[in-house]
Amino acid sequence: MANVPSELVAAFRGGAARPFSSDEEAGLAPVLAEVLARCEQAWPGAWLPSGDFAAHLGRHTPADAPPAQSLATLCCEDLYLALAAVEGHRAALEALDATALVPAGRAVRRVEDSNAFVDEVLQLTRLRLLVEDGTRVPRLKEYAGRGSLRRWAEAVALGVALSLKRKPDRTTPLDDAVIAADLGAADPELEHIRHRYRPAFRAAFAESLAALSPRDRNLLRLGLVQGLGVESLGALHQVHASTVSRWMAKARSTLLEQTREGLARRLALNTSQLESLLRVLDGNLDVSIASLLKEG
Amino acid sequence: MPESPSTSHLEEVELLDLADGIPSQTLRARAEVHLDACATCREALADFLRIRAAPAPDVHAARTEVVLTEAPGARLSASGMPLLAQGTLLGRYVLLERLGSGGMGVVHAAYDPSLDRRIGLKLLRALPSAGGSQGMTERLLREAQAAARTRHPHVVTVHDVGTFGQVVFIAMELVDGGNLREHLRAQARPWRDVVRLYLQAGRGLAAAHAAGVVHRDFKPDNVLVDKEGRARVTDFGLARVESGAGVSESAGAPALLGTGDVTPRPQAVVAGTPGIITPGRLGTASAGTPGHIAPRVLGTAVAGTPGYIAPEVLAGAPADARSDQYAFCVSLYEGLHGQKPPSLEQGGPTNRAAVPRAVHALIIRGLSPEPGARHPSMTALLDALERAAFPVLSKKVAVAGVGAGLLAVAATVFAVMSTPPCAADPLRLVGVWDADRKAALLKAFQATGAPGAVAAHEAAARALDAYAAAWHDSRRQACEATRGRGNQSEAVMDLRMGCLERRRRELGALTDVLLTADRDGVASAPETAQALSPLSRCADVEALSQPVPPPDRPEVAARVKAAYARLDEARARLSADRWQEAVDRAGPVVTEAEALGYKPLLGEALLVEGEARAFLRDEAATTTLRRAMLASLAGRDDLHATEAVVHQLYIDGEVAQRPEQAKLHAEEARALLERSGGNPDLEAQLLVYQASSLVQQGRPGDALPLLQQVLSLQERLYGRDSPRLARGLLLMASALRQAGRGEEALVHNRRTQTLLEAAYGPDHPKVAMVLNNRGSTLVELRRYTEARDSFQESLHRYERMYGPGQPVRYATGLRANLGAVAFTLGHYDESERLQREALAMYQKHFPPGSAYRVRTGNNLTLVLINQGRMQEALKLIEQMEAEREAATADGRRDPVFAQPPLNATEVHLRMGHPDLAVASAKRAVALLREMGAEADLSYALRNLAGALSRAGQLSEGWRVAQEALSVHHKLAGADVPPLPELGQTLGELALERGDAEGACRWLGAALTQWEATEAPPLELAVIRYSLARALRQAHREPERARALVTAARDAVLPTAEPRLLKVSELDAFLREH
Repeated sequence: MANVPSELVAAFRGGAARPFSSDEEAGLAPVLAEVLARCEQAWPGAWLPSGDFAAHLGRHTPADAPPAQSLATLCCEDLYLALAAVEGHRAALEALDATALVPAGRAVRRVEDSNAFVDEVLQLTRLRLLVEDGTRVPRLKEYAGRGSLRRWAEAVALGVALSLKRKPDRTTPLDDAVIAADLGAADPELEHIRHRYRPAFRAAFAESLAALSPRDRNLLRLGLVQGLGVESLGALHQVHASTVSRWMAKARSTLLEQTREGLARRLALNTSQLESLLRVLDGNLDVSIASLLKEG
Repeated sequence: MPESPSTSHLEEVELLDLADGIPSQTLRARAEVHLDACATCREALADFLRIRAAPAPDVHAARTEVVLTEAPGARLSASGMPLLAQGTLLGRYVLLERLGSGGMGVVHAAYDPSLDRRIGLKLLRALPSAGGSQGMTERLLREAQAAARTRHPHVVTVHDVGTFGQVVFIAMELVDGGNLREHLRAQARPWRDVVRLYLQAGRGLAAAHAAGVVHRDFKPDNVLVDKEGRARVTDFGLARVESGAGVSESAGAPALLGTGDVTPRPQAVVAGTPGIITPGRLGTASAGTPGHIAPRVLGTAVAGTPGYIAPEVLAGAPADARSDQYAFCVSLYEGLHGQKPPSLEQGGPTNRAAVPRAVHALIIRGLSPEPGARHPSMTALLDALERAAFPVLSKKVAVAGVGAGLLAVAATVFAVMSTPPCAADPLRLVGVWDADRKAALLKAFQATGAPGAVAAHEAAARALDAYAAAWHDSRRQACEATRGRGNQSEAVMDLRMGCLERRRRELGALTDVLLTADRDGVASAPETAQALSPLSRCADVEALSQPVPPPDRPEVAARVKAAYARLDEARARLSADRWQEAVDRAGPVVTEAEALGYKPLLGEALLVEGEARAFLRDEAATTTLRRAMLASLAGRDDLHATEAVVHQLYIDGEVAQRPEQAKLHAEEARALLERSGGNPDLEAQLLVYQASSLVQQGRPGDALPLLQQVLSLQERLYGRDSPRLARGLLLMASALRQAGRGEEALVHNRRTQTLLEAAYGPDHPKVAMVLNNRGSTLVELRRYTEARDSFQESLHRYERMYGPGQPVRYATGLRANLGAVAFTLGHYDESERLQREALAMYQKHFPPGSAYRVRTGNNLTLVLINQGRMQEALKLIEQMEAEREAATADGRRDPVFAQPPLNATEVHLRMGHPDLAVASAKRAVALLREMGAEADLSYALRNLAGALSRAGQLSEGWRVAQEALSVHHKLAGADVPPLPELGQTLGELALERGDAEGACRWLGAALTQWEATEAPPLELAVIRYSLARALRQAHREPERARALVTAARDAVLPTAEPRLLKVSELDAFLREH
């Protein structure tokens, strides 16, 4: 194996498709050699010609810093495994299964705890990772080494699992006409008011929703429409659940208040008229917010 | 990528990072913008979040794998541990300073946002992921999770266990202190101190054994001693990591078995050497025991630390509770003698220090090489050890009766232990409740000149004596739990003592109140004494530790304390039924609590005020109680919040008749009870008020099962003869009465009276109330004279206690009841006078729509109808309908509101408008159906059937009457005959339908029932005439028919037109032959 540093650097440069200063190139040579040695120690068997791997590294090394530095942030062993697997080395495929897919299977169990489901998901994941699908390259080629391969594969497998589970109708927004019809049957007066003021209400609502910050809008949508609990949203934002509920309460009250103002303005109602209208709407306001957010 | 970063969809791994809460800053910013515009990604993210939050099917998979937010370059230290910078996010934990490290792992302090506190985060060395050690990791995780379930004062709490890459992490409580080895080394300690600490650690170990968890590596290094001197066991089940890692690594560096050398040091916070690896400690553990490397050499995965491992485990047997016992005894021996027990070759363990032989013998038995020869369990060993080391403490029961000599011995022992005694000090209640106060109380009672002062004193004093004794007992128990058995921390003892101190003040305040009692106060003194807050709550550690602790600043703390003292005075007044005084006294405390911003106090003060207002039947109480609940919730004081909700239930269910509201409160209260782990007192009270609301709504069928539950709960809690059962029993009687089971109602009524009189004597407001209820039941049974006597007796007793016409609310109610009886006995003038008085009083004291007003108005209407004053009656009915509307607008509902339309039915019938009568009766039926008030429904259906029959709608009438009959049988049982009114209606309908035989049967039976009552002839006139017609149609008993009609004629003749029956019609019947 001709691990001549200059050849490696050339291959790397070819992959990166950009020029390097001589300083950069000089710093690169020993780093590349060391990375290669590490990878070959991790995966003995010389699955890849070193030039190919150097070019691969070059492709995935971020361009915003000197290459030697950028290289240090990559999971090079995982990149090596990914490239070898996508090129079809049997041993690499086995290693991929053992180190990435089997653990991913455990995470998939949270979606549905059955062996058949996990097997199916893993099989689909393998296909997606390794096989070309029409115009789409194998997903594993997109793995850029920025996080561990194991986690990356877990995420892909979860995505596969979730899309398997997702009911087709879930993606179409609920038609709130159903809800409205239901309410109308129960209370004709309410139905009348809803019909009469609906467009104004919608407009006022859309206006005040647009005025919220993106964070608040997302919180309300995930919370009210997707029905996620504050615990989950807290995990998303890395804050305590009570903070999330404070945020949401604040966002909701802002939304309601501004909708009220907008509505009053549009309908030219005085305060007491508006109050009585809102009393009628109030009980259904949660439903309204949820359905309107879904549309928004 | 063709699209700009913010427009391209989020990739799976990005979604996963977001869902796990570990996105980079760039990703977070991009996601915020993108999600706002992309519904698909929102939905995908929601799915990921849901999955990550979902409970996993398997314990191991349940643990989120934690991923570094830093570039996962995962630079590893020489030991295979990642080197992590302060501020790194590990899952939800924020890494703080490093506390210690060793061959096995490192310990960092970390911040856990979900607990909002500092924790210790132990990271255990990476395990090779291949092959067998994967299962190894899982087993380890399972065990650590099992250990995490052991909650005990002497076990370090584990919050979370999981993996981060190939590293296992354990999030645990941060203990401020050092380990037991260091603690004992720091200074020489008397042998009893050593034993005491080991007893504590042993209790922790025993608790884990009880949960099925084996430690596998017990030793002084794994026992932490906090600043309060409490010993706590840590690192359950972790020995496996060690041995596993050690064996797999054995190719290179000398691997050490055991965790002693590597025990990460959460306790190092105090040691002041964060981040310093402690090679010294590495040395000590291994150097002392060079001969024990054997297991590694053998290549078996033996867990534990050399020198502490039981012989059978070294030989390959699995570790169990008995091998833990062995390790415990090695540690204790080491603690007492400064070295491990010498092996048999070295002469075996000897007792070289001044340790009692008994203690030594126990340890030797625990060190038996044969597991079967050791103590049967840790608990057995600990109990024996405690007896041997602290003989006096363990014999405390005997000491109490033996005398001064032994007490002095006990005191010496305590002095040696330098802990204060827990012995009861009778002086603690001097000036609160003692012999002098008792005598003074008798004088005070007698001075009021109240009848039965001596008896009242005796009953009250008995209750207070019992309370005082129980108080001493509770105090001793609280003390011993910490100072004696040592299974409770000082902090918990302080909580219990604080609670008991408040009970002591309450007892004092209550005695003060009793000393100033007037005549009324004397009568209710025994009940007052019963109302002291239960002491059992002071032992409810969980509830006690809930409320937000009071402010630390001394001047604020002093104000809080003073405010509580004043609140206790208010509470004493509440218990003494001096409701207005309680309101007046609680008010300023509320203001003070608001100024201090201390929520638990505010909640309690509002609760006292609201409770007192509730007793005053002041509907505004509901606002106060709601504020009380909110304040208590804010102060995390679940019990008082629940109490506030329960009283709201009372107001809405019983006083204000808002059943919907009452139901909501009941649900709220139930949820709160569930959260606070339940409280039998409050549960019983909740059930009582729920049942009361149902009885108010005329739903005896729903109320009865609840009441059965209440009674069995309360009998268990307070005993069968406790006066606390009275309320439930009374409600039971009312429900039975409503269900038409009057005789059973009377039995319960009698039982209530007996137990109340036994507890409080005959002249007590509650006894008088029972007599009133008894009267109502008797009316239902048509035993009018007895009913009148009962009402009069009740009134008499009230007036004896409170003076003529007092207390107004109750006396007026009774007079209204007497008026109702007078009506049934035909004394209309007297009845009208009494009803009008009552109505005027109720109109003054209760808001429009109150059930009291409507009920009395209805009775008055009946009097007017029977006097032929139809226009007046209609006007009154209209008024009552207006009241009902006011009530409905206010959310009140009560079956009594169906009575005005029923009265209107009667008026229309008498005035010859059967169609109007049918319409009115239908309205009443609809109202009752809506309420589900079955007890009254049967009655209203019967009226409707009667009206339909008069309107000529015979088949409809028959159907309705049948429904009335089936409702009756549903409530009262299949074999109980219907009330005579219903029988009469059925008979009359049969007659109209041409079924003369059926009519004779129904009417004959109904008349027999009627005649057994004291119903006046006028009430019987109609049925007598109907029966006569039935007989004639059936061609039977012509003479009896004539006699019946004659009696009817005699009855209606003196009444005013329009009469119940037309005299001309009756005369025609008599003429026809």
